[in-house]
Amino acid sequence: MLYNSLNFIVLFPCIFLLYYAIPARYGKARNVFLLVVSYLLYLQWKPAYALILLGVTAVTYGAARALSSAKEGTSFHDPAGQTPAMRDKRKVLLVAGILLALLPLLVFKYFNFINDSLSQGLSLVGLNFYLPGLNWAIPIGISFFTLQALGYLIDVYYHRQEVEHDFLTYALFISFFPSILSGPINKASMVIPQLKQLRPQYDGTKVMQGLRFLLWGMFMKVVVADRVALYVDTILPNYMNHTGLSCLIASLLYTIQIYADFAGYSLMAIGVGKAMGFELTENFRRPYFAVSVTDFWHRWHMSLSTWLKDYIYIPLGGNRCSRVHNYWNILVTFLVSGIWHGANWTFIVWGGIHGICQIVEKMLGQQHCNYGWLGRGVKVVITFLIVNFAWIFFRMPSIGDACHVIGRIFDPSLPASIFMPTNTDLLLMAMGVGVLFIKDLLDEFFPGRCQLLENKRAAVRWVTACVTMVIIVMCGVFSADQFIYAQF
Amino acid sequence: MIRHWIKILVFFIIIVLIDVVTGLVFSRLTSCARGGDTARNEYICNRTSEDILIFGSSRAIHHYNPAIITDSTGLSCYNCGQDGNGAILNYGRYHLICQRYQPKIVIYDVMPLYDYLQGEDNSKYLGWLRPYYDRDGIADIFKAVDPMEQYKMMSQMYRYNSRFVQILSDCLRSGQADDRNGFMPLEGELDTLKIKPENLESRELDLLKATYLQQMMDESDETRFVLVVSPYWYGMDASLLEPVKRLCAERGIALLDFSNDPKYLHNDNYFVDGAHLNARGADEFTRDLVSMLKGALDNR
Repeated sequence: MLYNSLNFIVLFPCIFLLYYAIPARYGKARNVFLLVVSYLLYLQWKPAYALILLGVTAVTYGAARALSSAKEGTSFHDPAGQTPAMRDKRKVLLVAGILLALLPLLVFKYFNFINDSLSQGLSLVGLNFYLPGLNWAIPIGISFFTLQALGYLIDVYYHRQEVEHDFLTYALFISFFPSILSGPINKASMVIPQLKQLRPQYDGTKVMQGLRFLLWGMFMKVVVADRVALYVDTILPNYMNHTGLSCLIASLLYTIQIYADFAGYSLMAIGVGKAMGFELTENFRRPYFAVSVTDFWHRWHMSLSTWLKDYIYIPLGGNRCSRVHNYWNILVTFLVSGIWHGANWTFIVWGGIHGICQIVEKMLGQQHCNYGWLGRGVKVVITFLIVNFAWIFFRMPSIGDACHVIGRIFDPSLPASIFMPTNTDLLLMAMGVGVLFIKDLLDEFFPGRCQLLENKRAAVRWVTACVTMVIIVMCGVFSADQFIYAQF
Repeated sequence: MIRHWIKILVFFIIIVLIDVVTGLVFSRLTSCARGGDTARNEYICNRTSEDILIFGSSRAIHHYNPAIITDSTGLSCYNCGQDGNGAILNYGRYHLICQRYQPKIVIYDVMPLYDYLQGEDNSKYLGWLRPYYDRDGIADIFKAVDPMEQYKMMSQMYRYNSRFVQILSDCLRSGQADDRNGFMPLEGELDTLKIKPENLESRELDLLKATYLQQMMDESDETRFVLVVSPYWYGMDASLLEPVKRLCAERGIALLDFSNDPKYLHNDNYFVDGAHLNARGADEFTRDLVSMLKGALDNR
């Protein structure tokens, strides 16, 4: 369910009211209700694909149960007493579980890419081999719920997470409707205990905070991201018809668009979760105030960064190895991050740029800021420009197109004119981006001191909420139908 | 718990009140706008009385000079073209106009992408009709384009979404189009960066757009329709015009096609980009059109 759709505006209050109509003592019934709602919302899109969601859930649930059975005789906190045969059996179970859970993702998302890349590679040596491509839509949220399920399975294998015996609870953890579309990618250790414990009937403070998150997330999406998208989508797909300066501005605006779009979505997901009494993983912490690319990844899509760190980077050896090996681990982790985002070489290049930048920062000891305010400002700007450069590869459909856009930006022979949007679009864009920038600036440098939606005074909170709502309705773009990350 | 829910309810009551008041204020401001696109839209929907009306997209608004048409025909003329719009908006506007009077002649500048081929989300064509949603027949257009729109339009504020800045500024200043009867010529020379034609060959027919184009032609028996394809710098694949040729043939309506006219094809002097004539080109084209128009109307 898209949070910026009318469906959501109509359905969410109904879900909210029905959920709280179930007495808290029937915690299980509340979970069943949420599970049914989550699956019904998923079925809205392509009913058959709910079987894939169910399949991934069943496979990881079964594999985790099997892993748990295979360690009988050892305690959860002391897995050391396993025999080598048991260890081998568990490893086989883990690998089988991972491969089976990954299968739908590989088929739906990567089959065409692998097929195309292979046939192109083979054609270079004169071999013509091509399998017919799959013309299937990718099941929505597949990258997110697959990672969440794999995280749980690996945690069970490494004894970091107790196996979940209740299938309904586990199925709800995987399919929980606020986060299934585009995350956050929650850890089982965070969400499953919340699902199992008896939640209070109604936590007013949490509900209000959730609704405020929802409001601000909506502002970021429809007022900032979708307004800026009007300019970006005019320029970048038709970059050959625009000057380098217009391409530069469009790329800078895309940097803002993707942040407002994805952080807005995440905030709305977390807000909906809170309104239902759940805490979900924080996903963004003002990423464009990062002082290095390494710092950027501590602030951008934090649930994915944590997942990559826990299940790719550390198993590869993390930083507890030689320096060169550590650099290799960073690069591999970010190449995986790139390919996770999409089946295209552009995403691999994007991941590679981020990986290489972090390696260089580590080599030069530039991961943090040691230069005072001015130095911090300079590093923030440099990081922003590097991230902006990498987003060009993320946005464009092919590496060739991305290189052409970059070429145009740096081509001095092109006229220095700028494509101007209408005055209204320009004003609304400046207003939205300005408000978002000021809020993030205040939150970054004066945390807790200039809060409006969370202000101590009720009057300030009310006025801010009303003004935000009016701005959303009057200035929002409601024709955009998709969140950028929903395509992944 | 009850206290919180009452708070949520009060919040929504406040928003509804703001919504109603904002709607009233902007409705009033729209009707007394002094210039700009707001006054132009208000004029087209509520005040036109000209004998000849020109409809179409940006290619209409920038290509047809009403002064030349009036000089040649002796009939008053107004240019109702609108940037980035096609059959859906034009039908809505024409429907509102026909509730007041029947113009003698309608010149419709055809642009396949906006008038009968599939393009972006059709709800983008509803923007200028939002303030007139309550008028007879307009709600049906919204419903046909997107059934969800009827619910969104329950909000008065939404009707002025993204336009309130323009409405406010149009209330304070007089606009550029007032003395040119809706015509907005483009000054300047050809920008070679902007001559890439859109690839429309693979696009399918958009039945909704085509239906409104058809309904517009059938709206009034007293109005004589002429469909025109104004010049393109890069020309146009004639097969793209087949659907509209069929529509015209069925109704005995003239279709004047200048899209591949050698006088304009690749003529840098007449264009600002691949699809738009400059002021000089627009005047030249309007003169050529008028000379053909008389013949086309007499023949039918």
